[in-house]
Amino acid sequence: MKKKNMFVFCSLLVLSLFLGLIGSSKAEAASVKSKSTEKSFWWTVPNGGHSSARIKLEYRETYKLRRDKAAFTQRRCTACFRRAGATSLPKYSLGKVTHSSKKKLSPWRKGSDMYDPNVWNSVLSYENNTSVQYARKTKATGTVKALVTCRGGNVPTRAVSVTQRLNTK
Amino acid sequence: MKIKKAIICVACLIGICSISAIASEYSESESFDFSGWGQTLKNVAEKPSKSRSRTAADETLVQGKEVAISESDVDMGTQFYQAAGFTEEEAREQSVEYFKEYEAMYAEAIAKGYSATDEEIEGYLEEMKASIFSDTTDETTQAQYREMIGQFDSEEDYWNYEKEVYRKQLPIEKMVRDLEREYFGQESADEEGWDEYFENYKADLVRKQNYQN
Repeated sequence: MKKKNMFVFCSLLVLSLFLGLIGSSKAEAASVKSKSTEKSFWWTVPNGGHSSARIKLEYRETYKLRRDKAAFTQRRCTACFRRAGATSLPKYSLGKVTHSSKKKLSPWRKGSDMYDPNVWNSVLSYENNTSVQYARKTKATGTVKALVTCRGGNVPTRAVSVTQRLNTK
Repeated sequence: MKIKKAIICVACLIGICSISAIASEYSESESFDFSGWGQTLKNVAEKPSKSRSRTAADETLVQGKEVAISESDVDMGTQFYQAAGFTEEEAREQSVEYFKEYEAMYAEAIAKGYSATDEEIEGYLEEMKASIFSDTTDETTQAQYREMIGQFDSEEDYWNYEKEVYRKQLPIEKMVRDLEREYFGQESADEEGWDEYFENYKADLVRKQNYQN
């Protein structure tokens, strides 16, 4: 009887440990939140023509769930850019992601990108691996901004941004 | 104590001046008279000679080796910069510099064999029209373009005028597109580098023309 009880107890212990491992590895699997926007900008120029730009801004956060919190462990922002013009050419600058919580996200490094040169003239990405935790129902948001300017065009500077909520529930 | 107060006063004064300078520069660059510019384009479009491939000798303002900049083009450019808030004198200077670059780029594009057929120009303008008035372009820009185009008797008149503009602009754009593709094909290429490269490219072409007033 004792041996039987011991066997049942050990089996239950092993089973619970096993289920616990599965459970925790499920919680550790990475998930992604992403958002993007695509905008076109047009400028009139002095010879009567136009300059134009098209920008696709993507923002991606990778996170892992840990019980009632989410750990955001990596973020990436990418700008894909296409321009057209004669002498006044649009150009762009890409900012880094900021969180509304003002948590410091640093350092950033340039990402490597593959892109279709028939569609885009240039692509720029930044990546950061600072780990920040938020409650699953957080109201915190993340934002990335880009500026598109056309020196010599009317209304030279235009802005585009992407904001996403960082809640995971 | 007195020195501390003086330092605070000077710092506040500098702060106020900086904010005013930034605000005025921002407000100047953000305001553009689209209806005024539309009226200018309409006046240009209605002139008897719409061709810009040759400039009458009596209206040449600046002569280059291969190109000439006309008084009428500089006038048009002056009105553009005035619509952007520049004074007449500043606007005229900017206009002359703009057309020196534009004409030099056109001469280079033609020398390199770039051209544009009527079909290409029409197709290009159809795509442009579709893009300007699509969901990806913000409502403010769309409204501004409607304001500009609205100065013409009809939208068709505006796009017919643009066909004349793009006879010259499209060959230049094709050349610039190839230049950019070549530049970004290099491993070390980046946006800042491209900007510097392109500005130097244009400056070299302007120098090549050796413009004389």
